[in-house]
Amino acid sequence: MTTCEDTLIERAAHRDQEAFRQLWEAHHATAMAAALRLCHQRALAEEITQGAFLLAWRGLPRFKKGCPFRPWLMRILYRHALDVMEKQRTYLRPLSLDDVLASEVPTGSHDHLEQGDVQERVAEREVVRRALAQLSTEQRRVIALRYGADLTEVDIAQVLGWPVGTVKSRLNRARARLRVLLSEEER
Amino acid sequence: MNEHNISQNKQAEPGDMEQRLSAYYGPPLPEQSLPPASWHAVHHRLGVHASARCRRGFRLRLPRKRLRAFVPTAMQDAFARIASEAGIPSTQARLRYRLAPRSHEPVVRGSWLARRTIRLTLPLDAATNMERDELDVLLATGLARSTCSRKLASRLTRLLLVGLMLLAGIALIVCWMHHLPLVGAPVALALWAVVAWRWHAQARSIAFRADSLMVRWLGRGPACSGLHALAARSRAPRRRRWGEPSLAERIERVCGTGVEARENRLTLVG
Repeated sequence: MTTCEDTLIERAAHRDQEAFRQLWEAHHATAMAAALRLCHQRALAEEITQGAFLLAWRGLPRFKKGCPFRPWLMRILYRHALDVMEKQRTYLRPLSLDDVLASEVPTGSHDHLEQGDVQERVAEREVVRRALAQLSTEQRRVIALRYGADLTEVDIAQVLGWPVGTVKSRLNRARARLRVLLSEEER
Repeated sequence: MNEHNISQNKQAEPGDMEQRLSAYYGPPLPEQSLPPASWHAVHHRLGVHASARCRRGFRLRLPRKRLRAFVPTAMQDAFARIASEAGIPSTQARLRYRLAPRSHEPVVRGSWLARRTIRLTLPLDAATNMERDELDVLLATGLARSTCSRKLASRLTRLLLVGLMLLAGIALIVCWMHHLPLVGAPVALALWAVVAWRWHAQARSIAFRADSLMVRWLGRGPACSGLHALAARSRAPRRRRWGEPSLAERIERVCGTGVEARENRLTLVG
């Protein structure tokens, strides 16, 4: 499997579009799920996934042989997702019921949910979204990667290209600020 | 001091905050497969990148253009459906899509000179909660305007107007060089005014002809419903822009009713 993927990567690095299509087939669904979890909007997540694959296509000639492909792709995806979300100011847009359902429940099982439960969750998420909107860009980035991608501080440092100490301090400051903001929202 | 203590006591507990953040992002999602059209969009762009790289050696590098958003699959499907309804081969029509976070109204433009390219600009909220009829009307309008403005008579008129505008500019420069600005300026201004007025009139006439074409492709019901939805989204449906009829005028012509007819009906139902 890995050897096969190595061959595909090698071919794709030499501009073989069919090999890249096979890489897309193997990895796009995972990338889309990760993007959707971060941004909560299906259309935007699709745009992010496509953008990440294009960036990967451009970067493939510099891809280190023998390294696993998916973590490399996911690093590109996370970086791209955070850039797109900041550029489009997604944190300033209120979450809709559709966004919450799209990013939460696999298609087809919406019937199991109580309408009240979903609305309550939308309201709760709205409170958090408003608090996140008041953080600085760097703080939002570390929070998104920590809680929206479940990355460790070392992984976050690798994705964002910051020293681990910086990630830790920004994460701590972001948490402290969020604590204050959330308690203010409740009052 | 007391207030400070109270506010500290009221701060969310660390565990609580972590739970709320985890709930906000939710648990890891299962794999989300995308339709084949999504790969086609990526594939199309791969070709662009490859050819751009090939040309880089002997081509002057221009400043980077603003990045366009990728066209979502649903939008591509809708565009392909309308293009096939209009009898336009999908290879001849191209849709370009851009998100504009600061704008409030969707805008569609069709090219009249080069390739048949439809440029759709959507505000962020419209991009996520647009109705099907609304999107169909926008795409069909762009395609129909492009079709109408690419007719030979329309193209010749526009080229003539561009020529007149250039002529006015040259006349102004010549008069200026011969120290006769008072003669040249009124002539140039008058010519520019005529060109602007003719351009505006022609663009409006094309827009109305394009609406007839759009009704033929989509049907009057969906076209009306889409136009009304666009009017409901617009802050000023009666406002005319240069070369562009207002939504109220378009609704009047296409549906035979005003914007208020729907507003009244909605009020009564409510």
